[in-house]
Amino acid sequence: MNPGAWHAVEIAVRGIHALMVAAWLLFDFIVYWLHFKIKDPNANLAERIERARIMHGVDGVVAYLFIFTLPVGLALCYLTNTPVFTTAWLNWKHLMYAVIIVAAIVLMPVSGTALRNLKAIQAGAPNVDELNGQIKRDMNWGMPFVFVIWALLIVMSLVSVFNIKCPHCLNFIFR
Amino acid sequence: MFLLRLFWLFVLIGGWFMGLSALRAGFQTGFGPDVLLNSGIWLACGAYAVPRVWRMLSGTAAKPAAH
Repeated sequence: MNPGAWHAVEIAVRGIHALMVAAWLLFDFIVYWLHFKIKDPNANLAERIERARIMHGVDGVVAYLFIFTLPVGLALCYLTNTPVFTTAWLNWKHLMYAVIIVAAIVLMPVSGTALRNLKAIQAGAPNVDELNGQIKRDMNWGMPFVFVIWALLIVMSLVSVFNIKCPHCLNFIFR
Repeated sequence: MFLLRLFWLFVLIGGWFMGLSALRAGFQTGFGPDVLLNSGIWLACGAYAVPRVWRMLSGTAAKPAAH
């Protein structure tokens, strides 16, 4: 492949990587916005279930974006001939991503509670208060981990932006 | 279900790949705090995923989460 085409592929993959992270954060904000009415036991049940379905779907998209951010990033390392663990800023980015994986593992058990419990309530389960309480408890319990993920994503994005170099002159673009 | 399987496969493969890469980088250029923490956390994630992926592949049901 000629250098110009290789460079174009690199820029495209870099753009995809950045857009994936931006979309990940945006969709996570949407999930957060949706969750308020879902955990409100006084809200209309049908509306809560519909919101939970949408939230579950968006959460699925978030999961795919999260999972494929790593291989796209590794592809970028390959395209730029950068070993996976080299510069300090890239090492810290990888570390923050690893912490996000830990947060995702911690959140895994509570991720389906809302939709499952709301469907049970709709089906006539007698322990409505208990099911609603579990929805609220699980969602509130997960919030700190969600905020940690957001903070790490923002820091990782800033670290990347302030370490972007002009490919020709090799000067930092934003500092 | 597919997404759950994909997630655990990702944690398994990503964990071991990144963890071993960090370990190799550490042996080559030294274990600074960034490389040390990377190798520790990634390998821990990879190791944590092993029984889960094993259960997935063997078709054994997982224990219900207690919280």
